[in-house]
Amino acid sequence: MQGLTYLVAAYAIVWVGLLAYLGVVMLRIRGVRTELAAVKELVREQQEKTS
Amino acid sequence: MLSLGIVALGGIIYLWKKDERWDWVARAAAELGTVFLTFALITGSIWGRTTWGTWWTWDARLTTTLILWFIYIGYIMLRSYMGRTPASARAGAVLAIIGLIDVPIIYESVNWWRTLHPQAVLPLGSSPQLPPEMLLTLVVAFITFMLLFSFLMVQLYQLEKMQTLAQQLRASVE
Repeated sequence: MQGLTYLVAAYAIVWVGLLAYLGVVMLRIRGVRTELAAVKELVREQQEKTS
Repeated sequence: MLSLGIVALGGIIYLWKKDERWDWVARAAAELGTVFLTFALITGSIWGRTTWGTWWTWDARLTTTLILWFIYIGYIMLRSYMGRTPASARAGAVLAIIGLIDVPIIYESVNWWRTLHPQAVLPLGSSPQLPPEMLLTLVVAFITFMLLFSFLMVQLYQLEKMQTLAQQLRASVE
């Protein structure tokens, strides 16, 4: 049973870890998309001011 | 090990062509390599606990793999410290190329030194040393992780691309 406990622990660590990392990556992508949209808006406003 | 190969290849091509897209590939591969290698060290430690009765031993394969992990961490820290600049990309490329030396050492460590770690079960030029059902499991797991790796590489590449673009646009506004 001890070996099975370690096996379950290993699977749990990998699954939880991978899903957590996937979540972090998706959050980072969403954050950058938001920032990119904001900066593009700033650039557009600046171009309108100068034109 | 594959990841560091991609990091080094991306670095070499960046140094050659000065195309920052290859730097994005290198950064993405470095991050992914760190994550996957961390899992490998943790699960390997758990396996070692049940097989050898210890969480860690300074075996050749384990030690060289830990060195690779430190190389990855060093790469990420270096790139983070130097920011998104051509100098950062060049420094990262050099570090990755030097770090690539560790990959064949890891692979051959079980042959070069008397180690606790098992010998290769898929030796080059020889038949597999695994029962068929284990070999099938290994192949399925390998394909699955390669697909996951590819998916995450694409996501991280896009992330690097957008971060670089955001930085450039912000610099043009300020």
